[in-house]
Amino acid sequence: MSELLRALAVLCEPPAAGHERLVAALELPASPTASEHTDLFELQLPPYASVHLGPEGMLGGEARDRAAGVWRALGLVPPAEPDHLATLLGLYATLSDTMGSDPSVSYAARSETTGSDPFVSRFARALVLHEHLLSWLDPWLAKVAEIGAPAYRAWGELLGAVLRSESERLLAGDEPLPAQLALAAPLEPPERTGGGAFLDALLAPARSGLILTRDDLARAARETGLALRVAERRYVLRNLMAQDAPATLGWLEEEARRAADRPARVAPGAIARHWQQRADGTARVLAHARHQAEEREVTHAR
Amino acid sequence: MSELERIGDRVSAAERDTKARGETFYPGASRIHLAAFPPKERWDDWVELDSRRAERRTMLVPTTCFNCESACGLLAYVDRETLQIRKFEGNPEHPGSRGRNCAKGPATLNQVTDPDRILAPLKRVGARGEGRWRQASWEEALDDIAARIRAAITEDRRNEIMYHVGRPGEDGFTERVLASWGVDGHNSHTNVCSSGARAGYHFWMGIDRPSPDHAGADVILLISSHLEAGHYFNPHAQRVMDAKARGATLIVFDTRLSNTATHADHWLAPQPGSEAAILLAIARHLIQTGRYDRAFVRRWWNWREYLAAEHPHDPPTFERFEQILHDLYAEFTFAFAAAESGVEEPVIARVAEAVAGAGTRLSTHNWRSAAAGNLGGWQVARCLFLLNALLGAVATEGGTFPNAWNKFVPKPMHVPGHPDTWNALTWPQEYPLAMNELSFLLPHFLKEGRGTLDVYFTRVYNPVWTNPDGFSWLEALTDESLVGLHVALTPTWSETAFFADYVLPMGHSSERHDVHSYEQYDGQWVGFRQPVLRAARERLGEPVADTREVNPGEVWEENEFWIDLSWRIDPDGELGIRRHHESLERPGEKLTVDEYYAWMFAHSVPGLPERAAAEGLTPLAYMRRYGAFEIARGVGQLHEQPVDDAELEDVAVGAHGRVFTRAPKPAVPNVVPLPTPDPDAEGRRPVGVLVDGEVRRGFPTPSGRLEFYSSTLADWGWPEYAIPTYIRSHVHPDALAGDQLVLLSTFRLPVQIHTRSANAKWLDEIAHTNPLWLHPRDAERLGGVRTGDPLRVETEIGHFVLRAWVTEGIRPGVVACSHHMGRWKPHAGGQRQAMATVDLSRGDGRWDMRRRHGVRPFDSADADTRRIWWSDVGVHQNLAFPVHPDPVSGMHCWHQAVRVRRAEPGDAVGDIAVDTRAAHDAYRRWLEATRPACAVSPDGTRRPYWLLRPLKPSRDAYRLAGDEVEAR
Repeated sequence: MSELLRALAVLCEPPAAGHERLVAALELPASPTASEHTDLFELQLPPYASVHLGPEGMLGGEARDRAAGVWRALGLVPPAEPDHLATLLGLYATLSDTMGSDPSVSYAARSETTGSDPFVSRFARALVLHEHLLSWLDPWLAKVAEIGAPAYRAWGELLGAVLRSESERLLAGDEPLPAQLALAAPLEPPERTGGGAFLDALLAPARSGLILTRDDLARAARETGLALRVAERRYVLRNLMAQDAPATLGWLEEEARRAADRPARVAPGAIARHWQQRADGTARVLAHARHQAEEREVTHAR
Repeated sequence: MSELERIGDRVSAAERDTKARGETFYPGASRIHLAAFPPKERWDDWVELDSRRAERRTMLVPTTCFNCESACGLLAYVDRETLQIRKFEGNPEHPGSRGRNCAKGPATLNQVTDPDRILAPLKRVGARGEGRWRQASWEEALDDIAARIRAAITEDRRNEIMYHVGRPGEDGFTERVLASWGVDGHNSHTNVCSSGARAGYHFWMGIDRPSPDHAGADVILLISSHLEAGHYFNPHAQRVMDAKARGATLIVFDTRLSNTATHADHWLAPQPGSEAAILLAIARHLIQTGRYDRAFVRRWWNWREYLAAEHPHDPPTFERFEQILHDLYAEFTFAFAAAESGVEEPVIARVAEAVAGAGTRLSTHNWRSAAAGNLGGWQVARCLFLLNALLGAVATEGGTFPNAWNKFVPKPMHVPGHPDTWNALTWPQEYPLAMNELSFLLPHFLKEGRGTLDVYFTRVYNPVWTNPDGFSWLEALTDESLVGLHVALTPTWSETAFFADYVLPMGHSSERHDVHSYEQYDGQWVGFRQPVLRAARERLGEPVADTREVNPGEVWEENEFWIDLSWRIDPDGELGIRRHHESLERPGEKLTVDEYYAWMFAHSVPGLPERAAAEGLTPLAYMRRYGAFEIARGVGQLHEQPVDDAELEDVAVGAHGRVFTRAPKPAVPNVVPLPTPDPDAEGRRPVGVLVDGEVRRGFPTPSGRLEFYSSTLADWGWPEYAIPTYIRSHVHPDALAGDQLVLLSTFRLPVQIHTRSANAKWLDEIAHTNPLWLHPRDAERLGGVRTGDPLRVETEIGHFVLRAWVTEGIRPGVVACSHHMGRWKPHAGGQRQAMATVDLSRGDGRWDMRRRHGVRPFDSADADTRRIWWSDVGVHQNLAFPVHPDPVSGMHCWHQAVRVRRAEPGDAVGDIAVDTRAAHDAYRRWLEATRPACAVSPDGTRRPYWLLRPLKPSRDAYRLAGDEVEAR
């Protein structure tokens, strides 16, 4: 399984000459193109845990430090981007090598052949899977399925299947919520936090339960009939709100409800429930905010 | 089998098949396996976009950097259309550097394209040093030099032939050339470099270099920040950082805030020369608190020999030794160390605790730095290794290894015997224990009439600039009665080459062949330097017979040069020289480099032929393609290896457990230099050592154990230094006048490398001057000196003028000035990017160097030379240093006692004045501290035979001559 994971990991890197060989080995229908890669991973869905688990919804920060901490705890040197999906899958594959692929072989026997402590490896592997992969990949892969090119949709399907399988093999199902999800504060109404912080939280998946891509916001403009100002997401969203706050909030509320109703893809149990509940809570906050905005507009009109 | 398992198996099978073909399965850039390099199967035709998005197709050809000693792997990107090198990057296939380089590696491109480089052989016109040259042909130069050497050999003037080397960059090729000529003419720079540290290690473990396993260490203790910031900067530094990232503790002793010190958990800035006092206080702490590895000490120290020699009436038990050990270092309290070093007692105590907690994962390293700065500096390395020896952190994971265990020197096809002469110009009898040649005393020896030189090669070496007392060198080099013919083999202009008769251009790292191997982790690898354009042409199906066909101009490489020269010295073979340079495949014809390396890689590098065959390559083709091969990883504790029964024949066991055998020594492909402990009285060779009843391989020392007590030092006149101890430096505060400061001159800025990098414009732009580091307190004491103010620094023999840099990064009472800078040229020619133009004047022992002008923009084929914005290139401080040869190790003790004052009217930055008569007096004073072999040799020889020596003359040559014995 470890080579399968590595091969999947490599395919979220920019397409290169050797990728076709991997695509063939994985029996994927097509090789992604460079523009498809750029569109999905550079513009829409950055494949970094910190973006999806951190309270800021941005690269780096404590969420990346937590990923680096796994390397350090294992006595390894953290790479430059320890929270990149390829890096995490690579680490997971390495830990799988240490454990061995045959679960019937005793840990002691595996230790003799690998020179590493299989108990530590097993624990670390479960930790990486639960805390650093499953914790954010459920909604992320759902987005890949929604907006990715066919090649990436197939890749995401396969990755989801592998993670599901690993989850069944390695986890009991009663694990506590991953720490970073548990620690992320839910979205609060704008009147409590201020408009800027409200937008920040909305764009931070761990807080809102929503992954809002650039294309999503473009769709929001189309579906609400508002003008799209092409810029970074926060600016786009602020601009939509400025044009028509009730309509924008209503659109977001629908998105949140859709996310809350989305079935689990790879992480049934506490993680999936958490994302659903977080999205549901966000939908309620958005509904409240929409009402208030509508009232303000009515008052304004009077 | 599930569907996922089936796909997983498919991927695994594809990965195996791909790797079996020698290809890369997971292509770079990938985060999966640190594979951000072009896959090796595409090195023949690699496509990149340039800045205008045009496709550039290149061939990637490996070679090895020739700048510092660490021999990092480079990949030359050779344009397939123009066959020019476009850039250099790291070679991911190199096990030492692992694809990573420091700034000097990529800057090789500057060196190759330097507009001022020497492109053809030059012969002097007019007086030596006048600066007038004419182009000569290689034929003319070779015939002229060969005739002189042949005459010297046939007239039994073999000691008049000398080869003086700076950066060898190879493993023994030239030593073998000299051996083939039968001359003891090897002269290295090592006594101005590393021989102090080497001596300390050599007397402990028989091997003169440490190999710290930084990556596996829990505690790293460096008295070598100079090293980590210069030599070995990259392979060691990356492993130090690996360990730090894992949580290892880094301890750095450095009086100056070096790059390495900035990364330390504990930075100690001791009074220069006090390092050994701190180390012994740490050792005392380990001993007094019982935190040392008793089993290791009992098994591997030569404590029995120590007791027998120093306490013959005491019971020869380990317990008794422990009691004595306890008392031996009792005086080295933290308070004592604090008083000597100026480092606070609690800081030393904390460091001692950190070391005590390291167990067998203590990696330590001393190279140059304190060992190269101080009288008795060699004891710094000895005291440092004492900590490893106490903790048993010797050849353990995270410990320190003898370097020979982590180095592989493949045996070549011809191995000539060593010469039967002794050259006292390099190995004078005053220094019987010197680790290396007393090279920096050569001008004084010549002036004293100890000999003359008929043919003197300087090879990638610049003694006028690098050595102390450079004006004495100028006096010797310009006297044709002392030096008959001076041949400079150099890739670039140097202060020494200006005073040569022939300047012969040799290739940079991408223009020459060499093999090398260095200790950088617990493993063994061989790296291959090659002319990349030769390899590129060969990939395109164009065989190249002579490297000059592909090198710029008439630039050559040394392998071919030495073979050709040797052939001309002995064209008909009557001197017995030619046979060592003859082809095995084509008897009677000259050896080619292809045959030389093909034989070596096929016969002397275990595992390489098999690995190459698996890729359908010959061993030579493999090395030309990948540039390096790892022979072993995890060598481990060779001293613990049992000796095979086959090697135990008619065994005799010496008094302290040394085991001797009559079985012949098995042939080994690794000819890494090892010492040769003496046989027993009946001629059996030492093979191991008896440890707890078993014969173990042990260490290559006379005792076979780690020599806490060195009978060599005791027997050869230095009994007071036979165990690790503290020698007060010549710059100890007690030796300084009230207005004197200590000057540190041994450090350097990491982007430059001695003489060789002034031709790299990128490096020159980064670092080109060397101000005087001055603590604010000293600046205030000197009357409020500010950064940029001109200062005059007065040494024992003269003075130099430079600018101040006021900084808290230096200990008060100590000043520092970087090596590398102050390059100069007496004429308009030469290297213009980093050499100031100067006027030299000489009168009755007094030399003056006045700066005519600094560096300035100039027109050349490289438009960047018009963009030179710097003019200050620093000062050549070494000219104003007298020689300070340590009486034991022979190491030049670099630290200087100086007076610093404001520059005087008329002084200009870069000015230097020196009295060479005072320099000679200083030489005589230090010479008086020696204990010559004629006075101390226990057996009438010049030097203990077992000690390492680059060329090892026959035993007869070791005997003191009649007139020398009479002096006893």
